[in-house]
Amino acid sequence: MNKVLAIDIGKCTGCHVCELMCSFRHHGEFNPRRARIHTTVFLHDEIAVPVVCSQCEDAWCERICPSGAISTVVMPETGARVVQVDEDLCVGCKMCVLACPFGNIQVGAAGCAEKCDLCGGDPVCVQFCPRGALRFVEAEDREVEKRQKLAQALAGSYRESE
Amino acid sequence: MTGRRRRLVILGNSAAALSAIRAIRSRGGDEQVTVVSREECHAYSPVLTTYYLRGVVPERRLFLCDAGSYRDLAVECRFGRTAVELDAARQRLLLDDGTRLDYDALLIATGAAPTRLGGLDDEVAGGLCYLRTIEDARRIRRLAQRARHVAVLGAGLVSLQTAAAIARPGVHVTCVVGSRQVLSQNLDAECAAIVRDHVVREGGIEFLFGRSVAMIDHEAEGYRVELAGGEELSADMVVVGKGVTPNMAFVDPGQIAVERGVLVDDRLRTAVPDVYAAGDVAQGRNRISGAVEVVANWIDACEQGRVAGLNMAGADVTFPGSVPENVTTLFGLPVASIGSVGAGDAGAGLTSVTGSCPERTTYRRLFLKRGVPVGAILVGDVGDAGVVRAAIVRAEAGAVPVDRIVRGPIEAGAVLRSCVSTSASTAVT
Repeated sequence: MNKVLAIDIGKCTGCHVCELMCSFRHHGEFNPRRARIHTTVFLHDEIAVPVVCSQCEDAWCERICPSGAISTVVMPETGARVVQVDEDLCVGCKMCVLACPFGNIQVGAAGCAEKCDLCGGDPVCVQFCPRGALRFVEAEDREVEKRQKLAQALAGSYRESE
Repeated sequence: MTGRRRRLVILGNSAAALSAIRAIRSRGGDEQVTVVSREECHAYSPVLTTYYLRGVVPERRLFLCDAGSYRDLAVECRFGRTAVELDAARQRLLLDDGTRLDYDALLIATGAAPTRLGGLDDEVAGGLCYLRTIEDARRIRRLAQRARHVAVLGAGLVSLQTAAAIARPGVHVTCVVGSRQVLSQNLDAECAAIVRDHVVREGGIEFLFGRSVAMIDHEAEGYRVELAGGEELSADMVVVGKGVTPNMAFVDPGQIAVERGVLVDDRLRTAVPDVYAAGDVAQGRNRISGAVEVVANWIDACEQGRVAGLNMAGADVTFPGSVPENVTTLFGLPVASIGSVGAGDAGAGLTSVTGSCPERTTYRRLFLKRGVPVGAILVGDVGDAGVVRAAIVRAEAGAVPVDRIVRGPIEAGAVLRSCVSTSASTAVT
């Protein structure tokens, strides 16, 4: 078992329910600004791009955290890898905010870094996504392959447009 | 494999050194690793020292390692020792206690030390405070408890954070600044003015700009700081923040090329095979400007250390270059500086686009060179600093939504989208 949060950009309608549920779960309020998942909507292109922590292997935030507050654990039930913040160790210096190229770790009002924790193994964004654009699934080889293809396409478009 | 285990020696015990050790161990080899550190204590985080000064974290929280950490990493520690001579031809290092260490690969990660103020009476010089080590922090904290008037010389990141940590009702802090602005290495004049106003308003810190110190003398209870031009101020504590100087006295420039720091290539190798350098002591390529310079910041030290460590352990990894960058929070105002931002004399040829939102006290400025984004300053809201950084670092692709960034915090999706799309001018809502 090795579950991952998978995103299907093609299915996302940009309804922002994921953001509302995420902020409600973590902060008890429906406030997209406090969500740990963000969907950018491009109305003219009819496309929406949800972005959430990929729980990187060898994560940037973990590598550079100056207070050793970030670590990676594997959840026993799902086998999912989670990059997590120890609130007792975090001082809110924001180095991780500067290091994450996807904006997936933020320092919240409490002065502590906040990021997707996969809701402990049952992500609410997945539960409430009305179109199934977000799924919490076994990372089968095919999933991994798909993700790598997308990553390559993204990397390729950087290079092509030079 | 036959023969003995490879011997790797790491000089230093902070960001670059620790990252290197972890990288070496991540490769799973059986190298013998020795860490030599000038300080007696386990590795600690210099980023946290100002939090310690403010009383936000207790001293024990500064430590990133304990004895068990080194044991787990199978590292032999030589603490309280300094390198006095490096014989690169014989691959041999001499320590101050006469110990000789032979190595197969060496990492110079000795960092930098505060540049000392010269021309002073010994007793006065000994009384000045600098902030770099944990011992410096303990001393400042002790002295600040009974100080009433503190003079801080300089207005760089460390100076401002120290000033902010010391200032409180009943304690007057005066910053004496050579240039005309705060954070002259990180901000352009306009952004610096915003930060200065905030610090003056929230912290009651007084700034004397464009002043240089002519002399510091003892006075009844403390010091008399004489400025060029005749002004004087009395202080019972003087903190000096005049930049840092790489610790490389043991390096023979005839063997290993040095300029301001130890010169390294894109694999963090020095001019000599099997000797690497990383962190604040290293001078390498600036990823954005292309200049070969010492870029001293925590993130780059970690990344350089990691790449050097991997290469020392037999990998062949390149470092894409350093990015001048930093983020700090002063009296609740977060400030991030990324890339070339027209600080100091690097402003030539830069144009900028500015956006601000006064009611939310945010200010953002993007710097461009020949139309390509090369730097950014974010004040007030720095939540997208990493996204902006990534966009700037890859700015050659021409996909950076400049107007969108200066308008307000940008989501990664907006940058990803514009790189998926072939037209960079995607309509953004």
